[in-house]
Amino acid sequence: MPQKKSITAKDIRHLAWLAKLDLSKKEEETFRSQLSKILEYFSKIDEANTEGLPPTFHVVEQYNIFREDEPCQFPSDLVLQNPPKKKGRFIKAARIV
Amino acid sequence: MRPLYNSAERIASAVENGEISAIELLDEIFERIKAVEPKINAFITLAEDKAYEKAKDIDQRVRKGLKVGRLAGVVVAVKDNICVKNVETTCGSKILKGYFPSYNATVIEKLDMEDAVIIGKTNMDEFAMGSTTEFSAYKTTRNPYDLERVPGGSSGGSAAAVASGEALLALGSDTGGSIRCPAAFCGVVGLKPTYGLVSRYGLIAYANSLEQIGPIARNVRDCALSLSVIAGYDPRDSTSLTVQPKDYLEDLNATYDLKGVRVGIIKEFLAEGVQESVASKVLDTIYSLEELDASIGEISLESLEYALAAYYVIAMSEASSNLARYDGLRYGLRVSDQGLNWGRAYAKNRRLGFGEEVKRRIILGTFALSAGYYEAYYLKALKVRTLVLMDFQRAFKEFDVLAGPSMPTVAFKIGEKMEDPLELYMCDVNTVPANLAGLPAISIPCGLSEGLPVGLQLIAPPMEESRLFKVSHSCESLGKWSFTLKP
Repeated sequence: MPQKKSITAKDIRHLAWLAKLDLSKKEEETFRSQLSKILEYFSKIDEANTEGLPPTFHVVEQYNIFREDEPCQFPSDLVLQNPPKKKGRFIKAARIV
Repeated sequence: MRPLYNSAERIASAVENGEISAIELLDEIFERIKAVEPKINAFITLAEDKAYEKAKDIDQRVRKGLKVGRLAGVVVAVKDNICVKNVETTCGSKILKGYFPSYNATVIEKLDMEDAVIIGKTNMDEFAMGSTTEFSAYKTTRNPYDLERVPGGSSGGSAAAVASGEALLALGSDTGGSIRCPAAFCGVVGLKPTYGLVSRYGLIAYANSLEQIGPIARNVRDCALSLSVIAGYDPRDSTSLTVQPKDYLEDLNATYDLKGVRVGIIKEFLAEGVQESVASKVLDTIYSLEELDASIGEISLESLEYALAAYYVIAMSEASSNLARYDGLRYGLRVSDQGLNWGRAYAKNRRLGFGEEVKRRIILGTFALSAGYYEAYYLKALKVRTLVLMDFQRAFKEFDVLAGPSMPTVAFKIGEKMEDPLELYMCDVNTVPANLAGLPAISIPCGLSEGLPVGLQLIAPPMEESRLFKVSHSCESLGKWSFTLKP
């Protein structure tokens, strides 16, 4: 089992980058101290004997629910009422690079 | 008739018989809202025009002698993470400010078909992450029993609206106790149904494998009536169970004989941290069921010691993935991205759009799913979930219903637990096991402790909501609690 450890400021920055989340310096500091404590509590699950048990991803035992692949009507006007930035009938995104 | 003092069931039949019009009822409700909402802050959005339009339509049909639905005229408040077409749906977050869904959630369609009147969207912890409703980006909802205290959460607005008579019924969602906690704190009835019984189509996702939409009501019969309306198979939710609709009120017409019903008190639900006065109210109520010939026993579920930690690892992991969709492009907040490339713009939008608790959970979830830690945290938590599931299966061989306090304490002061997130997470210790195992669980009020409501939680095997209603209704019949409008 990989070693569990306390969280450093560098870890927080890396996680924030993975999650595409800008954090302020203050948030970084708050989270660093809080998260170590929370993760320490989470480590409680180590004590549970789960040897040989399968993980339960989901309580409902259903797999591969299929439906007919039929197009349904959905007026594009309705969809286009929500994007905050548009150009004509297109959604405007930020530049890629 | 004084509509504010009647149950939803009674109101629906009064509207159907023409004893009261849906418009008159709505007028009364809005008068009540005018009087108490400035103190309670239960709603983020009121949908007055839409509500009057619906009420008018119901009254017209009644006058013409046409059929009306089972919830005719009943005013319902809806948690702000459930999509109502063309009504702003924010999920308590700034990042969804200005989002107007272009479709109705399945539960909203079902309420509408039975002629309920949807009155507005209720306040909640941002993305349902919290147990006090203090993490809303919009306002602080207050407990109708004591305005200095929290209503519980995350469906705090929904429970407060029902307790204060701003609505006759409400919908909430429960990922780790978000219906049962505020129901307990506000002295109302709240049900988390069996996982898959109620469609999640149109519910904004936080942790899919754990959450269910459920009703919040003044009493058990209203709760059963609501579930009869919203439950059922929905092809648009792939986790929906293929079950036939059922009238849950039917089973409640029987007399209260609990002969042969075995109620098991979960010892871990009364562990350290549970207020003595809460424990004694709950135990009194459970033991009073002996008067109706129920047999009461105790059981230990040892895996519950790990349930809270496992729950938070799973919920946060699912959340970190679910909330990746908030990029500011298709809906909600979009801050200036001048000079920024896509990645930077995305991250900036999320910094300004998400509140602190949401960020905390995204970071923790990202950690639990990241390379090197996935097995130790996420996968291990899922194995603990199996352990919890097995413990419940074992317990249900001995008992028909399991019981204990919904919350370890009564409602606490606003701001009291905002400094230490872990302390706040601990409040969910008795509610999360039912979510991990997908079981139906109800919280019913069972008395007051220093003027604040105490909630009794009952848990049943999957799909045994009828059993929960029967035992809860029996508790009500003992007359230790009756609904009163607050404040």
